[in-house]
Amino acid sequence: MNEHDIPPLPALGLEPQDLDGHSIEELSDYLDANRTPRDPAIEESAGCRIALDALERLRGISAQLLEADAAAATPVEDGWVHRVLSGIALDARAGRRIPILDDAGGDLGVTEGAVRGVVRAAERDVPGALVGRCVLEGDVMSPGAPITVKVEVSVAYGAPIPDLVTRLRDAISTRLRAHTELNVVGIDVLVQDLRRPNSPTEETR
Amino acid sequence: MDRTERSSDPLAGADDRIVAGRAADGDTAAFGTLVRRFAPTMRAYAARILPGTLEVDDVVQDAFITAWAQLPDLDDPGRVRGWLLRITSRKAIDRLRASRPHADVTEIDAPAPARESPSRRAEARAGVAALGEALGRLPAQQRECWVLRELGGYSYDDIAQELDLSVSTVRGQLARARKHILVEMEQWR
Amino acid sequence: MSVVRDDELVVRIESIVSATPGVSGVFRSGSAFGRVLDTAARALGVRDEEESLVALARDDSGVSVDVSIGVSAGFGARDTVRRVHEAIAAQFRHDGGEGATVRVTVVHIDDAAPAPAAPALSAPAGERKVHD
Repeated sequence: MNEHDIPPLPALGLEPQDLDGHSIEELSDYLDANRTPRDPAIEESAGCRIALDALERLRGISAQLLEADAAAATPVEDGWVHRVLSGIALDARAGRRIPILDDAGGDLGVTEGAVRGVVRAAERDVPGALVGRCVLEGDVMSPGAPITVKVEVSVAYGAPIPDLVTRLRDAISTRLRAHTELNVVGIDVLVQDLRRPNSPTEETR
Repeated sequence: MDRTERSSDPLAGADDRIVAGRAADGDTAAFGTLVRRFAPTMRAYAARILPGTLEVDDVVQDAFITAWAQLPDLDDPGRVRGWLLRITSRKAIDRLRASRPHADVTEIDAPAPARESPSRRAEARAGVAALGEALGRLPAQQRECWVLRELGGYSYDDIAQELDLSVSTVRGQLARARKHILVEMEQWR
Repeated sequence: MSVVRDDELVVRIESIVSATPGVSGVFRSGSAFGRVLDTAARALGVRDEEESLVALARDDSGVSVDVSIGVSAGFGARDTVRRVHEAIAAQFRHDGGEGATVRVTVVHIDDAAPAPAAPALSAPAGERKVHD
C-alpha cells in the first residue's frame, strides 16, 4: 500500500435508494456549497455521508492531478520557449516616448519600455537584488518635468537591506543619466524578501 | 527545476510576483521564466480538456501570446498561475467549439484514447492515476464541466458561460461526472 | 544629378544606421511594431526582403524618416541616438538638395555591461532623494 491508495470503503451506493431518497446531483451540489448551510437530512443519512466522504476524497485527489500530470510530462524544451517568445510583439510595452534634446534639430527619443529595461539592469551592479515591476511617475514627455522612479525589488534572504537599497538606487540613477535626460527627483524602492514571498517589507526613502 | 535551468536563468528561483511584474514591464527573459515555470501545468490542464497532444501545444502557445498582451492589466502579479490557467481553459474551449459544428453536444461519447504510459496504467490502483484514467473515459461534456470545476476552480455560472450551457445542465453534468469517476475508481480496487 | 529611388534610399539608410557605433539593431518603426530583427536574423534571411524597417514619407514640405533602434551594451542611448541622427542627416547632405526630418527612437537598450560613464550633465544639477 502506498500513500495514493484509497482505504477500502463500505459498499459505495450512488443511487437514490442508497442515499435515503437524495440524488447524487443534490450531494454534488451540497459538496460544492462546502456543505453550508448544514443540511441535517443529508448529514444524518449514513448512505449520504458515505457518498459525501467519497466525493470529498475525490476532491482531494483531484487537486493533485494537474501537478502529477505536469511532473510526469516531458520538460519544456528550449526550442518551444523560443517559439513562444518569437510570437510576442514588443510594442505593447513601449509606453510613452521620452524626448532626448538635440541641437541639430532631430526628433530624438527613447521609449519607456527601454528605460524600464535600464532600471532592471541596475540589479547587475547589486548582487542579491532582483528588480520586479518598475514605474516612471511624472510627465516623462516633458523635458525637465520631475520624475519619480518606483521599483519593486526582491532581496536575497539575509542580505543587509538598507545597504542594498542605497546601492541599487545609485546604480539606477547612474544608468538613467547615461541613457536619458529625465529629471529624476526620487527613486522609491519597495523591498520584497525572496525566500518569504508572501511577506513584503516596505522600505521607501 | 533542474540544475541547468537554475544556473542559466537567474530568475528561476524568484517568486511569481517578481517574475510576472518584470514580464508585465516588458522583460522577455522574465516572460521566458514564466513559460518554463507554468507550461507543464498548462499543458496538463489543456490535455484534460482536449484530447490530442498537437492541439495542446498550440493551445498553450496561444495562451502565452494572449498572456503577454494582457499581463500589464493583471492587478496582482502574484496570482499569475491561476490567471494563466484561466486563459488556457478559454483557449482550449475555443478549440473545442471550433471543432464541433453541431449545437447539440450533450453526449459526445468518444472517449479520449488512453494516454497513460503502460507503467502508469499498471499502477492504476494509485488514486491519481486511476482518476486520470477515469477522466479519460468520460463523455466530453461531463469531462469539460468536471475539469473546469475541479482543476480550474470555476463557478457553475462561469462554466455555464464558457461552455454555453444552462447552470442546471452544468450541475447535472458535474454530478454525473463525479458519479462515473467514483464508480470507475471503485472498480480498480 | 541622379535621383535616388526611395526604396534604395531606405535600404541605404538602414545599413548606415546599423553600422553606427552603439546600434545593436534596427527595429520596425511606427505603430506597427513587429518582432525584434537584429542583423544576425537578417543575415539568415529571416525576414521578407521586400520590406524595410525604415519608414520614409514624402510630401510637399519634404521628406521625413522614422527609425527605431536598439543600443548595444556599453554605449549610452543619448550619444548613440545623436550619432544616428547625424549619420542620416549627413547622408541627405551628401545626396544633395533637400534636408529631411529625421526621427530616431531607442526602443531597446542592451543591459549586459555595467553602465557607461555618464556624459557631462547639461540638465538641472543632481537629483534629490525625496522621502515618501
